[in-house]
Amino acid sequence: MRLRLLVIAVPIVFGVAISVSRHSFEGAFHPRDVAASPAHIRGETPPIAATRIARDSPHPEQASLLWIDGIRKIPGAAELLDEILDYIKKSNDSSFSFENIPRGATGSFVLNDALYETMISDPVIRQKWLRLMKLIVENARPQERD
Amino acid sequence: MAHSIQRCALALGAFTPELASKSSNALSPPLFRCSLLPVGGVMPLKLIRGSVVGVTLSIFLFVLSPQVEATNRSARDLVVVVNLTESGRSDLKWLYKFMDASALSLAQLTLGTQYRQIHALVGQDATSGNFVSTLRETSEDRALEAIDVFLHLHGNADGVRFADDHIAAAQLGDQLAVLPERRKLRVLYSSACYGASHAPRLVQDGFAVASGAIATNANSAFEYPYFLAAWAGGYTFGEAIELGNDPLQNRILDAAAEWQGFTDVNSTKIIVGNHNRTLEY
Repeated sequence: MRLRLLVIAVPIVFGVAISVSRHSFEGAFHPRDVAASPAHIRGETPPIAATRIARDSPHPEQASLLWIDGIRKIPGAAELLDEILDYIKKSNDSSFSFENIPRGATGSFVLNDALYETMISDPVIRQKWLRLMKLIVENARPQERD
Repeated sequence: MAHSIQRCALALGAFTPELASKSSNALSPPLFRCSLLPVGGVMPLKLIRGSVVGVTLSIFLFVLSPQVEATNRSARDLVVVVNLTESGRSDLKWLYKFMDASALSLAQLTLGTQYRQIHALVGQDATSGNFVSTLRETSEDRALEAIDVFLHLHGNADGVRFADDHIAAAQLGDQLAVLPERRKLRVLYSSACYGASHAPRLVQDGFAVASGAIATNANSAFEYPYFLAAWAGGYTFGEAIELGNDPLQNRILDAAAEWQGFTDVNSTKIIVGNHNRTLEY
């Protein structure tokens, strides 16, 4: 009886071991101890107090202004940013818009390099836009992965 | 020592009478003194049956175990949803135009060569219905193995604001849960305020991993490009989010937000799910 159980158990143990090892490759068992990770990586629920305060939060547009302020802090970005924002404020709706891009059945469109010509009609501003975006990307580039 | 040899031999399935006789001694327990194969080498039917059941179970477990296979560029799509404009004030339209366009441009510049396609849902088209339909359509594409999503929406503790309506995370989760190919939903990056409170439900109902800010999110200008660059560079989702969670930047940007009147600022991102996913896996 014990022998029969053994014969059944060994392949099962192998099966479980393979499952666990595959699971660990996926990262469920990360080498770093999750308990030792920073609090925010452990998936803790936000404090209730914070969620309660949210209802009294300022309007969303103020949150959007924070984005602009952040970009302005990037070296070399402020001047380009001001020129682009000035253009958007003064231009008509179609001069800086996604509206001209054809949509698919689900309302989406595919991003590609041709997007900018459709989006920004002024070629000078288009170049400045690309320079600003590349500046933001370059500013954020992490060290090369080994 | 003899016991160790016997155990090793048994584990390797190489236990034979010859080996047993070599390794057994007077102190061996009865189990190890008996021969597994009867005289003549004919295996009893019950043993064969047991082995078949065991192997079948093993195969069953193997097949059911989570599979994480490498996805090349042609097998993954990205969906970027941006709706900061539609819910805003008309006198600040210039601001939202810039916001929407930069969110898409940065994704395209950084990840355009890393995905087969980047689908954009912008402005009035960024409805919850269109979002779910886009996920359904892309996930049902047989060529694709992974769908990643970047959400740039306003949010509160309950959910996010699409172009047509505010939708609770639970409600959105319910809609994801019925997608036939939801297993393909992989990474959800959200810049929405209170994204951390939406993430658990969206992971429960579809995505492998999701991230979001604890409260009002004020660091997107810094964090989003850092995340994009790291994600494109092969960092894990957890590492990419961590790069954006720069404590100094967060303090500066959160303080600036508080100065502007926000009482609930906390841009620190929480990750829910498998934070080891990468662009390739």
